Order: sequence, then C-alpha cells, then structure tokens
Amino acid sequence: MTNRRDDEMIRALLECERIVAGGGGLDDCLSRYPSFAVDIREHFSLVSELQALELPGPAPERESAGRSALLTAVAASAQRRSRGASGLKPAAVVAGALVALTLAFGAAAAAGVPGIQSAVESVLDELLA
Amino acid sequence: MDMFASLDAAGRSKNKAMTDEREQVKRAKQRDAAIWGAWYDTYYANLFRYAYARIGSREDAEDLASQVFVEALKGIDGFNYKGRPVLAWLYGIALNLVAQRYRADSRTRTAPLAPTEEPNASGADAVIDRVDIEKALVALTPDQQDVIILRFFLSMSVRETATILGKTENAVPVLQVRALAALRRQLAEPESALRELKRRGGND
Repeated sequence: MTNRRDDEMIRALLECERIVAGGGGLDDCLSRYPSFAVDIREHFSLVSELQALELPGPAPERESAGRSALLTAVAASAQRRSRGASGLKPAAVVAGALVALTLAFGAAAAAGVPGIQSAVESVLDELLA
Repeated sequence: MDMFASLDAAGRSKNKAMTDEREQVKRAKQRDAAIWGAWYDTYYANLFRYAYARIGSREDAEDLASQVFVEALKGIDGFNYKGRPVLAWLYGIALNLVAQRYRADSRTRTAPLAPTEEPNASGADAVIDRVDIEKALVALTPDQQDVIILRFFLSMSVRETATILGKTENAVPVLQVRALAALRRQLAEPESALRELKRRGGND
C-alpha cells in the first residue's frame, strides 16, 4: 500500500467512525468511499471482534496477597515517616514490620501465590531504605 | 463507565471529583491505609488487564499490577496532584513498568500468548481468536498497543485514553484507526491465515 493511499484510507476510516458514531449506517460510509469498501468492512469487523473480547481476570488469591503486601508496605512506610519525624530509629520498628511482612508472605505462600515475591522484595527495599 | 470517577458517588461534578481526589492524594501521602486499600480495590483489576494484554502472562501481570501500587507508594510524596486523575498516574506507572520489562527481557512476548489456557468446548473459537489478536498486537508500536488495549479491552473513552497516554483528544482517534489498520495487516500475515485454516479444519 502506498503512503498516499494509506493516508486516504485513514481519512476515510476516521470519517466512517464519525458517521457511525453519529448514528449513521455503514452503508452511508461505503457509498461515500467505495474504493475503500474492503478496508471499511474489515475495520468495523475487527472493531466488533475487539469489543467482544474478554481478557481473563486476576486470580483472587493473588489479588488478595498483593493487597496485603501493599498494606504492609503502607504501614511500614508510615512507621518510617513517624520515626523520621521523631528523630528516633528504633530497630524494633523495623523488626516488627519485618515480622508482619514475613507473616504476610507466609500467608501468600500458603495460598499458593509464589509470584508475589517481587512485591515483597519491594516492601523489603522500602523497609530497609 | 467513567473509571476516573469510580471512587466518587455517581452524579458528582467534575470539580467535586477533583476535590475528592485531591483529598485522597493528601491522605495517601499520610499513609492512610483506607485510601491505599480503596485504590487497590478499585484499580487493580484494570491494571492487571492492561498488564496482561501487554505482557501476555497472567502471573506476571498479577505481579506487575501489584508492583504498580508499591511504586506508587514509593513515589506518592513526589506526586503533585493538578487534576490529572489518580488512575492516569497509576497507568503511567504501569506503562513504565511494562517498558522496563521489555528493556530487561527482549524475549518478552515472542511466544504465543496464554498458550497454556485450554479452551473449553463452547469457548474454543473465542480463545483462539483472542490469542491471534494478542499475538498480532505484539507487532504494533507501544502507542498503538496501548490505544487498542485502553479503548477496546478496557472500554475507556477517548478522553480517558488521551489523558493516560498524554495525547490530545483529537490525536486518539487517528492513533486508534492507524493501530487498527496495522492490526489488520498483522492478522492478514500468512501465519495467522494458516492458523485460521487449521482452526476451521479442526472444527469441521
């Protein structure tokens, strides 16, 4: 396909999109751009196929494990901010957060969620920063 | 549905929604677990679907979607809310994580997507078609992939898509039409045609 024809086809398809979005029929578009009839039909056929596609959703247990890891990280981050504000650096705070993180990780592993490792590593980075 | 307003009650004005998001960001900066939990509950599934469509592995997409929130937490103190929806910010993080992944592993998505998902009898055609389309998607530019994923897989409006991709609302339809044309060309490649013939032969 030449660049010029390509550009003309894109313009025709854009105009057809406007026609259809405005309540017009595909036939209106085809009659206006008969030289691009094949492209127009294929375009709208593909649009229909894409609109009908459904992607799978996440596994609930992994979604839940990710949520737990996030909230653990939020709590650890809050503790670090609080510690920073008071000028204190109690090792017990980090130790406590690490225990909580370990428990969360254990729960994730028990739920068969090995892929949560990257999130846990990020939380550890946050804790140890 | 306007997902940018999904944390707000239906019917609220845009200004009210922005005020609410500004307040949410303020509370998120204070490490308010309720806000982070609500953001996660509201946005995780869509971020997962975006990641899945881009990287093709369900487990990796689940990890990446979770990682978005961890990165958001790391960056929340530097996030200056100016009316751009939080979801757009989160998608920006997801786009960066996907790009990092592509850079780190050039082999990403060279294999067929979701090859281990066995179609059931009633949904065989749908699964094969999805895999064909997702494979063809890989050959498109990142912007073209993003516009198709956001507009069709996530049903986002032109305005939402423009906000997330940092483009004007006029630019999105042009990008979309070009992306669809490129996708049609990919689907017309011989490999896709052969697969289609095999599929039809197997169904006869």
